Amino acid sequence: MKKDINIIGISCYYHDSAAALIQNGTVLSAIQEERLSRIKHDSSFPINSIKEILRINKLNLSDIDHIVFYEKPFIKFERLMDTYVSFAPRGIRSYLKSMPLWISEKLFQKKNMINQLNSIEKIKNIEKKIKFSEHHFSHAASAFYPSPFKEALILTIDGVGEKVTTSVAIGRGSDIKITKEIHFPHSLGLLYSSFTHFLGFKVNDGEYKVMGLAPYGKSLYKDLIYKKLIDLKEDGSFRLRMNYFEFATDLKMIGKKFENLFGSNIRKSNEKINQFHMDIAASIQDVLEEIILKLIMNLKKNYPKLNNLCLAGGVALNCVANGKIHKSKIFENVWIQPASGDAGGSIGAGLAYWYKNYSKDYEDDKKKNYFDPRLGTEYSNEKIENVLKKFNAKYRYLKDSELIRETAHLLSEKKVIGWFQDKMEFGPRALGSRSIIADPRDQFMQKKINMKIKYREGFRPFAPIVLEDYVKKFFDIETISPYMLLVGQVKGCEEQKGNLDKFIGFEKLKNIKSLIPAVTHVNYSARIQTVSQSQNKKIYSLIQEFHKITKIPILVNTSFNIKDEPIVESPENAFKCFMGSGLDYMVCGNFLLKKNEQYND
Amino acid sequence: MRYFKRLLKKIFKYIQPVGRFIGRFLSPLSLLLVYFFIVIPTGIFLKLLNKDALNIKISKKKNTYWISRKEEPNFEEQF
Amino acid sequence: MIDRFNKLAQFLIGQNKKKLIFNNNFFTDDEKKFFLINNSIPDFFIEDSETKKITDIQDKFYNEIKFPNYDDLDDFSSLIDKANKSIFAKFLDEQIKFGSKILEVGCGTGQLSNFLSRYNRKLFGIDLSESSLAMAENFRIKSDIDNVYFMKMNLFNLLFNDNFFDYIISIGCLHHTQDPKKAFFSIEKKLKEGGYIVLGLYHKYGRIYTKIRKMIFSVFGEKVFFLDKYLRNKNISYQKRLTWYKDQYKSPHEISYTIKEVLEWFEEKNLKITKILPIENLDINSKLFDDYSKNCNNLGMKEIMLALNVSHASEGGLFTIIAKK
Repeated sequence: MKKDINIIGISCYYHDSAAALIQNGTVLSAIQEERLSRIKHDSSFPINSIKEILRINKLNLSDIDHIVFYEKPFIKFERLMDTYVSFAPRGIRSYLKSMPLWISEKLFQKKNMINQLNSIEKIKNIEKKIKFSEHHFSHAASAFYPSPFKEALILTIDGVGEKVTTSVAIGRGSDIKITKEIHFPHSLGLLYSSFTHFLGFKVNDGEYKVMGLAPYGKSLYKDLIYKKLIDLKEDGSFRLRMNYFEFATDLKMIGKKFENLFGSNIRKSNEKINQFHMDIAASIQDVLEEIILKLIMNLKKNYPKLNNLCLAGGVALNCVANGKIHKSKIFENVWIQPASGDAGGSIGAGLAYWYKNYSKDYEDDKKKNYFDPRLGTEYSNEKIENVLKKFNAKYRYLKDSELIRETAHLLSEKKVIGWFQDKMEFGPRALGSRSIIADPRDQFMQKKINMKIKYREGFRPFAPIVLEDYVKKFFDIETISPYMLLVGQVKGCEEQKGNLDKFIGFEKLKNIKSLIPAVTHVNYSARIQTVSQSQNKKIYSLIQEFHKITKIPILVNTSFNIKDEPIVESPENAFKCFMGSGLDYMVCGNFLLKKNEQYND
Repeated sequence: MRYFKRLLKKIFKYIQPVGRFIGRFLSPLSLLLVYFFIVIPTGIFLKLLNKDALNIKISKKKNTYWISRKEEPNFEEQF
Repeated sequence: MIDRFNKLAQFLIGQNKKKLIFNNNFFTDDEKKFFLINNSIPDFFIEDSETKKITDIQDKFYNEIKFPNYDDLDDFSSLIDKANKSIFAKFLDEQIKFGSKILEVGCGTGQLSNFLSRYNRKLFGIDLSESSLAMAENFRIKSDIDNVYFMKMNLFNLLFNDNFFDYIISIGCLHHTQDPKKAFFSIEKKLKEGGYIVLGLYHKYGRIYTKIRKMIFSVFGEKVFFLDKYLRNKNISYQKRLTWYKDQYKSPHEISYTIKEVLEWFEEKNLKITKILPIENLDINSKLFDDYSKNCNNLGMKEIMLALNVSHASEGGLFTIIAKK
């Protein structure tokens, strides 16, 4: 028998660190560090994740053949120095702040990594096992290799890697070739993040909020953005007009000049969101979509024979833009890596290295149709029960069929339920393993889950999870969307479309008229997740049962966490979150827990 | 010997903050020197040569901002 | 509301040791005592002749200022945000056991009680100030919290069973009473064996700065408000700064202590100290309740150092002792 080739891919030291195990070219496990360390967006070396994926797969560190880091630290340093030189003396503050960190830590990343790995297990010559991929190559690999395509165009767009912010590559079989790039400081990710900052949200975290806010506004500032902030060429390539941005030279994204351009200060985080902020969000979202579509259109012209498109990089998590890409039909098939952010770089780095060096083992027909993002730890009923006992929780064990029936009934009675099953998903979305689920028919459900259960902003939209067989009946999308990465229109609301124009701002939300108002956004769109029986048996049968009771094959699906906390990973996290949130019930494995019954003597 | 060690430890304990204090001024100072004598002059020099290392400038003449790429990524080096 | 008060009555006990009964619009101990409800806040106040003088003064004073006030916190989410900024509140929330019964003495506008209300805990917030309690109740109703009860009660005459609470929290309250030591013994009686008390009081040395500022303010008035970190912070609303000013500089009665003095009370009742703040710093791994403090001895020097710690003094010079019964 041939020896297994085990590769660990690692992404860290910027934001969202993660580790992944690739065995013979297949991703076996991947975990984001924040889920284990419980520090949101944890960027430190993913030591817990590495230990956990070794434990799950019963491997020792010495069984690992290669450890691949997702980017090249020295190129990043070079970019930093280039920036300081080009902008001098404008960047002195950022220089004084970041240089000591680079000199003391980041330049010696390899040594740091070796030290960390040694703390798991001492291995001779471990430095020879450590390899370095490129940031956007890692993204590209994470988008192409797990996709069902044998040949595809790959587009990666994010804030910035080492130098590259946007790249185009061609994937064929086991080979990926990068053909062209756009470099820092010209970046769609950083452009979008500048607006995130302007709207008073946290950069690298609040981008979803901008996207969620956009439908409340009108794209009034689009022309201004094109005129002043960006120079867009006919082929979709672009440069930012850097005098309006501060991110290259300062510790913040934007400054006075940007504020003056829009005639408003950066929103303070506790300041009320008004129509202006909504219009700004709508404008930047509009611009982003237009540029991406233009890019893709021109790529199709350049490569007319390619029918498949793969996307990755942080910007590919913008599901509204993704929905438009799909709908445009410029490429027949589109596949988007569910962990498109930097965490997904760990998968990409590992895969890139394997395909580069072991491609002779590659078999074309082995390509999988479906990439299962459930790559974390699985907890048995026995383990779950131990945890529940430790907490003195009150719970009931139910057989599969009873569990499904009872849960579906509770849902139809408008109860909101924490749902903990199987392995945890990799990537920023909960897809039915660590989810909060609820009845989408309830007009007040959206507000209730936001404010009373997750304690976050009331405007944040929720996504529907729908049985694959019924998706076309309820939504106008032509394809499946198992990773919740596409937005489509809710059917049956076409004549309602104008009815919200007369309402101002968040008032719109209260007046949505739809069969499934809890997951219908104010522009009558929804961020759709489809599910089939083979993809996730448990949630599939639950929705089936719910369908029987309510005639609606759809549930609200949002991540199992509260505001500013990472999604739950273990039964322990789940129980704590259940108790610390406004959830009515929790289903954890085969156990059903009712909130009112806990500690109620 | 043990007493000696303890003494050294005591001394170290008192010297350490002093060292840190000096360090707190010295490292930004040396960084500043590098900035003023290397970073800024290089920047000015490049500007005189009309070099645009980061390609910041907006150009009317160019019809694309794509940078084409030939070389394959390597995995061995950090650069 | 009726259900709620019926439930509340089950936790309460009259001076005659009989369970209280809720009777449509008042509580009664079934003999001669009646407790009315004012603006949905039950009034369980029973006079204590020894401490009456100051209690009456404070009752009047704090009814006019609502401290600490909600200001721009309009929902539970912003309460979480605020609490997460002060590590102490966050740690309390993370480390107090699920489902426990908690008494907050001097809850004011009830922010802490409301914040700790998750995890099926039961909270009882008592205070003298009816206007503050009304505000607490208002937030509670708005946030759909049903396991917190706010009521007016005299901490010298508590209508709870002895050995009843898992936690008793009183931060910045007892030093405003006529006899803080007596107050401490009064609330301590209600703590379960194995329960915890969290007590925050003004520090004798840490308070010196405030006293100096108080003198200056009394001469120069509002012009020199910049001397206080809180009062010069323009990000805080004027109303809120005014409340702070009144609480800190206009309070009709306050007594301050050294930690050493207060530790004697704990010793007398045989409580084991688990934490003394801010003598001990909080970091990610800090346990408020689990380890026993090693800082109970040789406090003299540490306390003087504390007084020199300007940032501590600018917070009003409060220290907190946590102990286990």
